[in-house]
Amino acid sequence: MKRPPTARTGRLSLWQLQHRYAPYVFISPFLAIFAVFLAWPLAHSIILAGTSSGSTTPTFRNVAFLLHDRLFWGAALNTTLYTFILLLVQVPLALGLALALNSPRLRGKGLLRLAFFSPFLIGNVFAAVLFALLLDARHGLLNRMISFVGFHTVEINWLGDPRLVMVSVLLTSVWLTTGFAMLCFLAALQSVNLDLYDAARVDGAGAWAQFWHVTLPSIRPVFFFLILAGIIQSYQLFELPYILFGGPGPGSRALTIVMYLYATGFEAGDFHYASAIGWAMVLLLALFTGILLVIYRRSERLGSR
Amino acid sequence: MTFPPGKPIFFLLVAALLSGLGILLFHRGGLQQADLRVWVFDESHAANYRNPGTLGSSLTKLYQQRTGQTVEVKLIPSRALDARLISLFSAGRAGHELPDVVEIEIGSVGKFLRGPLDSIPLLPLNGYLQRSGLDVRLVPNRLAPYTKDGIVFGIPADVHPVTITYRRDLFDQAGVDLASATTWEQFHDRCVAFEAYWHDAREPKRRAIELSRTSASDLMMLLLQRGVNLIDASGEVHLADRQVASTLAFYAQMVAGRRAVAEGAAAGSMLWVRDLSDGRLCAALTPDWRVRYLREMAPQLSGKLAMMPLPRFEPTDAPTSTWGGTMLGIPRHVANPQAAWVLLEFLLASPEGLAARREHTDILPPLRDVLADPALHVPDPFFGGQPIAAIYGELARHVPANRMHAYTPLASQALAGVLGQAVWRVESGQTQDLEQACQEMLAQAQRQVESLIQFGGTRP
Repeated sequence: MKRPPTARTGRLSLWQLQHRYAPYVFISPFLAIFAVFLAWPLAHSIILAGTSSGSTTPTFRNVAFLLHDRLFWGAALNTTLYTFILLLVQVPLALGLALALNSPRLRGKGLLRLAFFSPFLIGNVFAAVLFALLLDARHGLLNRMISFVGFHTVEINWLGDPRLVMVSVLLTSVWLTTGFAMLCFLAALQSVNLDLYDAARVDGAGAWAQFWHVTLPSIRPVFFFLILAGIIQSYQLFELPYILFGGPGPGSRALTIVMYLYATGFEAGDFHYASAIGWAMVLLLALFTGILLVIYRRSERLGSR
Repeated sequence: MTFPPGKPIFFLLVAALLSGLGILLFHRGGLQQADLRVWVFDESHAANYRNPGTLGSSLTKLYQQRTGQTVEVKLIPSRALDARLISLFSAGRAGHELPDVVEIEIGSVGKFLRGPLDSIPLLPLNGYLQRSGLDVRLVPNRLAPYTKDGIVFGIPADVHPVTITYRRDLFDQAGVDLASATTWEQFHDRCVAFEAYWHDAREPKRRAIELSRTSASDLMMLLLQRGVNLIDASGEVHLADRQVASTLAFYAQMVAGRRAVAEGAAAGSMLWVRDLSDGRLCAALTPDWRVRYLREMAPQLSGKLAMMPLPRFEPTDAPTSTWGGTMLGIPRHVANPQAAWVLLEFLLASPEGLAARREHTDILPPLRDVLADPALHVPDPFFGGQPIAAIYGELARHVPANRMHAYTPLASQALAGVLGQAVWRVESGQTQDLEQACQEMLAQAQRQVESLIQFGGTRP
């Protein structure tokens, strides 16, 4: 039976109305800021990428030029190479450190954890300034240490030799980011069910078999997360080489996609083409993320069989 | 008393209210502070305007005494200043949001001069220049980087002629008279002799001169000396010019290979001073702005240094080049252009402005009457009694016109890429037909830059 409206039900309606719309009121400041500072610039950058200077007519000119732009593909190659090598070095190193720190026999874990993680807190710019001094051929600490160990003076031109450009950037990046990956692995390792190890031992599994069949499958989500985050972060590489080399470096070996975007947009003032470069990078990232997700799902399916 | 949503929300609200109030008060105060605003990107420039020195008052205070108008000098790092200007200009902002006078670094000028003349966001200054008489006082070539199709959009704050500063004590010890070298070839030969001496004296790592083998900036100075701009006033790219190839081939053999006499300075902005002081690098290209760093950071070099004009490749080359620079400009949509111009003129060319500059820096103004002033002929004990102000003053009259185009930074990167390949060839002993090889690599680089310019649809 339908209840007639009363003063009480009227008050309740107001209360219900408030309940229904209050969340929207609360998130409206965020939505407004998101719309003005993120959604609109993104939409505008699509418009910029699809038009040319002084024209509002949509065109694929920027895309067509990009496909044949050797500088862009050179930058894309450098960035991809950097990403690949960084992940190849950083992930196993971080996992090794995490395994060591997870060992019950190790002493001074807190201090070591802080020591390995702290570089991550200082930021790219500071790290680049620091490494520019450390890697200097004549006055740098690294060459002095190598000289000390090797008993004769060496002046390896870390920042001036085109063959060592990538090595210098990678050294800095590994120092900067391995701590974070290590911490993620450590958290994952500490959440592995210890009963699984007991069961494996009962089945006669050795240390290597335990690592391969228990540890690795248990930390697989973190593994993929770190690779995905690493790819996204590496494709945004800009400050490190820009400060280390003051530009694209010897033989343009340190030219990254974002650096090229910066050069076309903020140095040459062509924001249309710079937007196209930005969106090309987004597409490349989407492609790599897609491939990675497919691999992850397949590995999950294989694991569950 | 309770707050139903909880304590954290309460504290967040209070913090938001307080910070909002603070911003409101600060912002209003900021607007009321000054009638005119100047944006500068370098600390020494800001100090020049803000610090009192022997004048008794700062330039801004003196200006206030003269005109009754207050001036605020805001120091913004170069890249941040660029980004702010781009944002303001692209948003079409006008009036009080814009600075009245703004400094722009020479390397950033090109992007602000893109597009048709009436779309350039800076005020044309030809009329102001003529009325004030500054057009005849300024070094004409120095207006080139800030001029497009004959319209001047910025007033140079400097000339920055380039000399070579060298360790006279070490060259004398080696028995090498560097200053007598009038051509680059002679200079190279003397540097080879210098290094041979120090090699025998068990100083094999002592290098004759600081020249970069990775960046193109030093090479571009040598090209400019020969009148070559990578991109000229009409937007033509000159990477594949014969002169560029020959200069590049010569330069590559100065920095690499069997007869290498040069090396880049240590990383870090001022480590070149340390290299010079340690005797690791014994000479350096020296524009006037570098002198201050030598005086302040290496006082122990006093009396050990000497200065010489640049050697030349051809007799028609300039005896100097130029490195760096700053322009003073007025945004097109500024509230009061006339007031902005009066301030600009005061800061740059008034007796007070010139006195403050003399006191704070070694940088000479771009004014011909000042550059020819006999008062510059003062022996400088730091340079063994050489009157370096007069040397710079004389060279400033010969500074070549330096053109800035939106794509000059990218052309410079392309040149650096070719330099890297040329250096590699020299190091691996492939010096035969080096110039021809450079020519081919430069032609490829030129096509790349031309396609970018053509695609960008820009004129200089």
